[in-house]
Amino acid sequence: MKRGIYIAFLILIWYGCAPEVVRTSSEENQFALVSSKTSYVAGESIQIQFQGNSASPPQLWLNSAFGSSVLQPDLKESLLTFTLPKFFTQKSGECSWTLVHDQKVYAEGKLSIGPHPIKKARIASYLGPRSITAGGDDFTMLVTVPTDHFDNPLADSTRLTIKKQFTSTLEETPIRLKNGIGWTNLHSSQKSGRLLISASFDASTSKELTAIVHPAKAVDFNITYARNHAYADGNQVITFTTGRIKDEFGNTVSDGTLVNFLITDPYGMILQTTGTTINGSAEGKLLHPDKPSTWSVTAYITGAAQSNSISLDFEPALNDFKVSYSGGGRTLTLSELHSFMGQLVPDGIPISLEIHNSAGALLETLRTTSRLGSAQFKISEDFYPKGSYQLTVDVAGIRKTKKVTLQ
Amino acid sequence: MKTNRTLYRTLLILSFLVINAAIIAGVSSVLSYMNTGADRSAILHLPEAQIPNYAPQVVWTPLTNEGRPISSQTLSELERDYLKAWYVRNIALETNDRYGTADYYTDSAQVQLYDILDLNLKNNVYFKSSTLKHHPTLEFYSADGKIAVLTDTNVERYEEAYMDQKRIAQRTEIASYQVMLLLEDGFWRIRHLIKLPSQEVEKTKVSRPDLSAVTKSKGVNYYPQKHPWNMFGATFSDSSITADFVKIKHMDLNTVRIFVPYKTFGKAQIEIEKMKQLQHTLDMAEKNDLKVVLTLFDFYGDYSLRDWTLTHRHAEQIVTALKDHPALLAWDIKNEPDLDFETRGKTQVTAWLGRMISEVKSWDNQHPVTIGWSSPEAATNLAKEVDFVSFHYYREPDQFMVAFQELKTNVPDKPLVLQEYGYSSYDGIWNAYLGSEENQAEYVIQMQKLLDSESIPFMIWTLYDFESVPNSVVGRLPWRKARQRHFGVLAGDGQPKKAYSSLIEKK
Repeated sequence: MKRGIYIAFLILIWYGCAPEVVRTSSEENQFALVSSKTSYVAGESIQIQFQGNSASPPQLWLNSAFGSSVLQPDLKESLLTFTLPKFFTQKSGECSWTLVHDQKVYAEGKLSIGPHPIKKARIASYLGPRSITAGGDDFTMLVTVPTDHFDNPLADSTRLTIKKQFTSTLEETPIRLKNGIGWTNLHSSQKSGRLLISASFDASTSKELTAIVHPAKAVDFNITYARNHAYADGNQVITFTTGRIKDEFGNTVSDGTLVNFLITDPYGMILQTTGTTINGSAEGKLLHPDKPSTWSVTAYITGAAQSNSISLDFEPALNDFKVSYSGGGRTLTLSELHSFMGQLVPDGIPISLEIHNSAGALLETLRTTSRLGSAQFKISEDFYPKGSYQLTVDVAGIRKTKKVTLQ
Repeated sequence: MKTNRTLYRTLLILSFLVINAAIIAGVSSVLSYMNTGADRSAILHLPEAQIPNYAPQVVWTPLTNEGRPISSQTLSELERDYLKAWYVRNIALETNDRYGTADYYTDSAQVQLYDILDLNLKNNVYFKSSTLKHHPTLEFYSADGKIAVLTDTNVERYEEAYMDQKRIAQRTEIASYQVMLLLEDGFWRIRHLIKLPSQEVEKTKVSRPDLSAVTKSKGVNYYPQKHPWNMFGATFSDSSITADFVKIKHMDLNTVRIFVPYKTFGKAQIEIEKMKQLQHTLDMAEKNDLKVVLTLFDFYGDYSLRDWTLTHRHAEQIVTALKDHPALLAWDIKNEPDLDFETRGKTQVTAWLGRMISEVKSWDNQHPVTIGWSSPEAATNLAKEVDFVSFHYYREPDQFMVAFQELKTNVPDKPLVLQEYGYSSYDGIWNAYLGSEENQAEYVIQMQKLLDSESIPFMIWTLYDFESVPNSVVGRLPWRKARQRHFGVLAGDGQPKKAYSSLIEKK
């Protein structure tokens, strides 16, 4: 009896201490997909159900365009229900799921979720470039992305209407979506102005978009000039003015178009002045020359157009002047510098004195300007020792030469 | 008394010297510390070279897009930002952190991503993922250059799901995506992303590589005597390699196994100079009628998913460059990867290896692929995927047949190659002077007898005794390094050791 108890006790200990046999039930686990629907519309609630039993619940691994997640089921007896979160049900496209349990994949499947067809659509629209030139060659592109209420692009080949308003005309063009977008090129008209564009789908419309049709390249134009008098007094301002500059379609060029006026004179100088257009017309201003000259003037819009050439003469403003020598010939005084009405010439007329040696070689040119109708040169003893020199004075193109013996 | 005074004097002078030395040492270490820190060239704010951190394969279909033609510069910028969008999203789904996503997703797209991140954070779920292949087609590029639409067909994506820090499953998914991107302040940002069903792919015929040469191979694991584990780069010497190849041929061997280190070859951007040296090495092998088993990814040990695409690009450049070389015998993906099972996790390592095998096969379906497992027991891993099974054996010869037969029963249908075996003739303090060249010769004779009887292809470790072994090979411990130096059949000076003749005699 006692021995029997011992044996029973030993057997008890033996089994009690034996490691617990864990039933790996993975082979026995069976999960049958109950829900058979695979096609949904965005926003519709989605439940994936399985019939099955296991010690611990399996998980559903979801993946849609923006990422993955893992769901736990609701258990009701042997029915496992996975309810997809709304940002998975609202995202159109493919949504794949994998039923995993204990590192094993039991079932896989894919749902296709379409964009919601009825819920109010929103139309995102992009227009560019926003500035185009007139004439019909240039265009702006409208890209529209109509989406449903949940920001899913609508299905391809959905029909959209593009409306375009310009001056008094209103055009409608139908387009169809492809790759989630609808796009069209809107070409410019011959007239410049503002192009207003919108897109609509069913009851939804996009915002208003604007592209500006700028005038095309300028065509050749005319210039005129205006001045107070024709004397080369180096004091008055001459104004060059363009006619109204237009493009080939008759649109006045944009304000601010730069016009370069180029002037060549018989002395080989090129003078330049610029102006920008306002209402198609530009002005350039320049000081009169200080000696008689003939100007040839042409205006250019770089790379686009040029004007006619005009020619204009400037008459001498100064007819004569007096030169007197003093201080042993070393001080030259110019006086009686009178302008066209007998008035004193304006201050600042450039005057030059060329000093030649007796052999006729140029030694130096001294320069000064007039003040109160006169001017003075002093020839330094330090540079020019006593001897004979030839001096030439030049004022406004009038030259006077004299041989002088400097003391 | 007098001795005492002398003693005090000596002590005083000594302590004076010691204190001075300590002061000088202190001052100099402070000075040298002050001289460390930022490099002076940092003042110039030079742009740093960009190292790719995400490089899945991208194959554009020829451009026939609507809208306006795109320049190659713009297309490369678009590709860069599109891939970065995937990259930052992979990281966001792994960390459930929004960092970086604002640069590559527009505001309304971010909302959709953040909903998922918030839910995953709440449920303690995260994903490690990487796309591997992209086949984008540019559908549309707008006139003002601000909008692009592309369809990325059959994107291959590998993903691992984790819940409560535990991996619950992994899968490779192929899906297509339609993407609309907007150019906003210099970044192409994703505005719409729609997942589409994947498209039918033409199945490429799986050609079975020719294994007849592998079953006949008798060879040696090769490193030059002067620069073991550091064959390429400035130390590359073609004259010594040619001389070695002549010696190997003279030993009546027909194969060499050569190692391509991952990091020193430039990781994802292969250094052209080293690639040329490798090509040259194969040319030399060809001249000497030797076949080459190329072991890739030497000294590589990361295997993490973030590293996948970079390692793929590394292998792609080597494999596509050398796949037509007549000297090439086989691709060995990795040397002894089973030693990384413990630190990196077996699933992670085998997932990387499995993927790498299929990548290599996709570039070169002519040459067989193998993995150099460190023991016959480990060699059953991925036996289905490799074309022939390679294993290493350094244990007693009398246990070899048991281990070999067991492997053969587990993998009955593939050739088995003893890719490394050998014995160190080291005889010194660390093994109590118990080793000898005779022991090594005896070991080789015994092993060769077994290999002959079963006609098992083999590659012995190694040609030479080496003077030094880098720490990265067997660690710092001197008894390990000492042992590793003496595996050669030729001594450091090129003289044959006793094992040499035992290897030759067998021939």
